[in-house]
Amino acid sequence: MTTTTFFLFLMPILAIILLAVNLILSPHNPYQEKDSAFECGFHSFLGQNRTQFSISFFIFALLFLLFDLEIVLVYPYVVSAYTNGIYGLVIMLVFFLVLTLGFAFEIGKNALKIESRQVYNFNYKSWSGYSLIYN
Amino acid sequence: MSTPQFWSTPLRYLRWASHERPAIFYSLIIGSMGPVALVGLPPLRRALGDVDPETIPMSYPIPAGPRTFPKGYDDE
Amino acid sequence: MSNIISIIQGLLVIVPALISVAFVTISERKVMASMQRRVGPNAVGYYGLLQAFADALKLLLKEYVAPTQANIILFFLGPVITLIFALLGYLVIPYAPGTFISDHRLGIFFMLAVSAIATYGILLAGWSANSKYAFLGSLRSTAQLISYELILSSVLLLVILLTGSLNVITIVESQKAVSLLLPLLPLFIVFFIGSIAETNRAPFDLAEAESELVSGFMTEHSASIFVFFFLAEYASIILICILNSILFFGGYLSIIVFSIISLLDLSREDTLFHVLISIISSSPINLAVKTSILVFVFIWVRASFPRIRFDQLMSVCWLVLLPITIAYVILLPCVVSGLLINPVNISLL
Repeated sequence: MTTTTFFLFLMPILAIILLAVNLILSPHNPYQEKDSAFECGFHSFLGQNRTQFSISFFIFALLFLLFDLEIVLVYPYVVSAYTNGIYGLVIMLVFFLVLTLGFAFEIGKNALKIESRQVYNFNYKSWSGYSLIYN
Repeated sequence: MSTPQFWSTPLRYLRWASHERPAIFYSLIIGSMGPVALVGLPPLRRALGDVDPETIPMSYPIPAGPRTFPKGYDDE
Repeated sequence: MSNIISIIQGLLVIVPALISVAFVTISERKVMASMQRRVGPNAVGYYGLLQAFADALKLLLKEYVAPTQANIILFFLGPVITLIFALLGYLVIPYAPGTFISDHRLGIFFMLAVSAIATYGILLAGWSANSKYAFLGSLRSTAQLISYELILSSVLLLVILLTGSLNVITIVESQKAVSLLLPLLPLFIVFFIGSIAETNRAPFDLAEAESELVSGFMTEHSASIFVFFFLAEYASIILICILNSILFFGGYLSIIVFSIISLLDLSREDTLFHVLISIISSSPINLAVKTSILVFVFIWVRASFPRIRFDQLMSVCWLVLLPITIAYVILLPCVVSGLLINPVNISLL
């Protein structure tokens, strides 16, 4: 068994030991209020738990997939930049340019914007300061 | 004084963009410096006295002369 | 025999990592207390040094609460996954020349992959708790982690472009002449902001914003599974500080010592002198000092800046940091091949 293999096994063992220590040593007397879902001062409503969520999260996940794939596809170029030469560089630039144009399109379409009800903030354009982050 | 348009007043638009959308404005400038650097840097480098290094050989050099084939045995 | 040696090696890496996690928590409380003119923990042990151990012991002896509406297996599996993959990143860290567990050729990829999988633990934990605070917290946290991971991996791309290798030790050793902080200063700033966000730290700790979501994805977690999240968070802080110092500050190499060496007369035939210099110039103490300074900056940032809103968080990532990183990804390969300073990857020749 090499050290790497042992290290890969050590982490789950550590987690299981900590979990077992807790399960064995700690007291355990549950009742209904303790085991119900957390809510501030009221009984919890089970129906609210896995409801619909904002589409923005899904769009960000989708965009992440695209861009991470893009970055991962450029990794083979950067480790062999000398061997690829100017030709490989130009191909990489064209590939990147296409995706950057798509990104500019998304920015222009406001696809990356999350709706906020707070209007009067330092994002707001008519506010007479500099805007670091814009809507 | 509304938001300036790029096609009618380009310089004013650029000034507005550098103040109001600094991240995208300067990243466009930095990004477009890339191809310029690719074209412009090698002549500049040679003008400053740098010589192109030899390319690293990717295979063994082929011998120029006729090849001599060994005959007989070495230990005879 | 070799099994015993490998067990000792594994423990030699992981036990100091866990102890340093404990001391980072205590140092965070002490530093924040000093910045807010308080005393901080000072009762347990000398100067409050044993506070973290006492807290861990207390949490391990607390009652665990398994909510009735939760998916129990996933509820316990999520924190375990987070802890495992936060600690696995220590596998490829070189602490000194020859002092590492795995000298893998794709070490940087391993670290990226491991830190990406840790996101799944958060997603599982938040979803399986079946509480709306945990659910919203895990959604926010996942969106934040994947967005900022994009920035980290694209900055890493440029570091690899300048060093020409995915091996961590090669990246460290190629900074003997100059640390990559100098050529990549803007990208270091981007990477540092990204690493603060990637570890869910203030001012980007939207996942556990107490004022809106009770404590984010770990609302329902108690006792040892809460300890797992806690350990994982601080272990990943230390890990990402080590990564920062490896990528931009030269890891275990000491720039100061190297610049002193260049002034000295190295032609003397003094073996002891050379051995001494090589020990000082690449010792784990250098890495420790750099990492500690970066951890201090993490705490400093937490004490200084107010929390930002979630839409601001996402627009900082996608509309400010990402365009800048993409611009540098286009610029730097052009400059590198225009100046003909491409690093040569020997395994491709």
